Amino acid sequence: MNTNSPLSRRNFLVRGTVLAAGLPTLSSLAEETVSLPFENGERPLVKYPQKRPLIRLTSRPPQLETPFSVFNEGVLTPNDAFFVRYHLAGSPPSMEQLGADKFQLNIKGAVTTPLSFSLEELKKSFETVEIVAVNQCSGNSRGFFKPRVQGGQSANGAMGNAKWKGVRLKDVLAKAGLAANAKQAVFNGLDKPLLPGTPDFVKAIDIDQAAEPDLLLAYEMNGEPLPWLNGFPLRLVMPGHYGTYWVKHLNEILITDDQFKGFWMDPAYRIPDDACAAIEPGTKPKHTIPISRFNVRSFLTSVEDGASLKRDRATTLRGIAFDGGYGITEVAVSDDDGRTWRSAELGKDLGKYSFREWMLPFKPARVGKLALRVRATNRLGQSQPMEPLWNPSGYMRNVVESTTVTIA
Amino acid sequence: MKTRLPLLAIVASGLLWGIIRINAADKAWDSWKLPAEETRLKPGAGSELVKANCLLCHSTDYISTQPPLTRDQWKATVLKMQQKFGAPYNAEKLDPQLVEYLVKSYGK
Repeated sequence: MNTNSPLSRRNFLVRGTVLAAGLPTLSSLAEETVSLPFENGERPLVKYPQKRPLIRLTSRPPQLETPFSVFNEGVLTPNDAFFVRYHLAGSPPSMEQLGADKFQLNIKGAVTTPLSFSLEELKKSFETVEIVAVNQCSGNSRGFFKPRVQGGQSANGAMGNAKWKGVRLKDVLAKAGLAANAKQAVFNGLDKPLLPGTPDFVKAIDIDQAAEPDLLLAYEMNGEPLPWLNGFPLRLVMPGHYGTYWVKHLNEILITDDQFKGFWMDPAYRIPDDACAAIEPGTKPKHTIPISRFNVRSFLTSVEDGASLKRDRATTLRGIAFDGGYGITEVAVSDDDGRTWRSAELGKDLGKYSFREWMLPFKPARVGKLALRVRATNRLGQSQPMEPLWNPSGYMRNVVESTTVTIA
Repeated sequence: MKTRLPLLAIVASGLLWGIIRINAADKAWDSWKLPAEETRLKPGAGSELVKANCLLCHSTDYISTQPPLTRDQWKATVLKMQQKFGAPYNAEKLDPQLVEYLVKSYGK
């Protein structure tokens, strides 16, 4: 799992040999398994359309996690490695439903002129914008919560960073013309529940938020059309905010004159209403609010937990950091349990919503085990806690990550 | 080397074919299929009840990847599936063997 190439080579070998022998393709079968570092963390690596083998959490509806080694391949997460998370039994919608001859985006409700666009019409009607932004599942890293909580048991791979291309939501809304009493923008996609009693996956944001210039209706990701499993042909991109708002297969924007009430806004996807979204482990929050912006996170990607490094051998530690869109200003590393910290050099700035690469020369002086801790700070001075915070839904984990290495 | 070369050639052509097939399959969306579900319920009394009542809307791994849950947590989950997600059963009237099975197979 340290680098991806031996893994893919092995997969190709398995697949190639089997194909040569004239047996059915193995591409749909789990070729490898991984063990995520928490109880009951065994997962198959499974190949999906347009994807390399990814860590499968669930198959119906699909939830796929990015193997962590991918984050050391580059600051942008390749489309074929980008995580996948659906909620409803009727997911993903079939490609027939999503094709150019069928797909329409409708804008309706409290607007002067209800509008309808094909994908091509949408592309032609508005200015095109590109933005690099992290998408992260609210429950990324949930499997590490102690005590454990129910929900999708991800390690740290339910996140990714991509260059999104699309049109501004605010331009589209301006063309439709918001009514004076417009209160919320409500987003719905073509992924549907099976049963009439299952709430459709619908998300709402306040109209002021919808008017901000960084929200996109995106149709491209890293220079390619959105992959099927990442929302083809159109999704909402809400930089700095958790993935729950990035509605996939987006085909309807409803402007309401009232506060939208739906299961996926309340009671789902809510956090304790306090500064750190945290409460005493095992207790229940008194008040909750909808989850919104990312907190600060940082990771060491160039060294795996349990790796061995040579004493007196100079190496460069490397990793990524991000926050909710204020911008990372510092990344620091400690090799002495947090007593002292050294500032890392920051890599190229791809924008305030992107992963920010960091590098730090490191030459271990003593043999034995040590923990490498990494901590980022953003422009507002927000940082990461040394001890993990807890909430009952397993959201927003952002503890200072620690990687144990052996110096030999 | 004499015996290894043809073998290498077979493996290499197989590899090439595999790669071509994979890429071709990824481009022709009408041939895209989601991989089969593989996780099976652990054997045991009550597994048929889970199959009949739970697996319409989600695969087995939604159950099997959870951390070990207590009896109260499994009971609450079964109730939540009815009340919040519209599962077509009455949790109060369900055969208690369903929760028993979940606790025994995926609980603590």
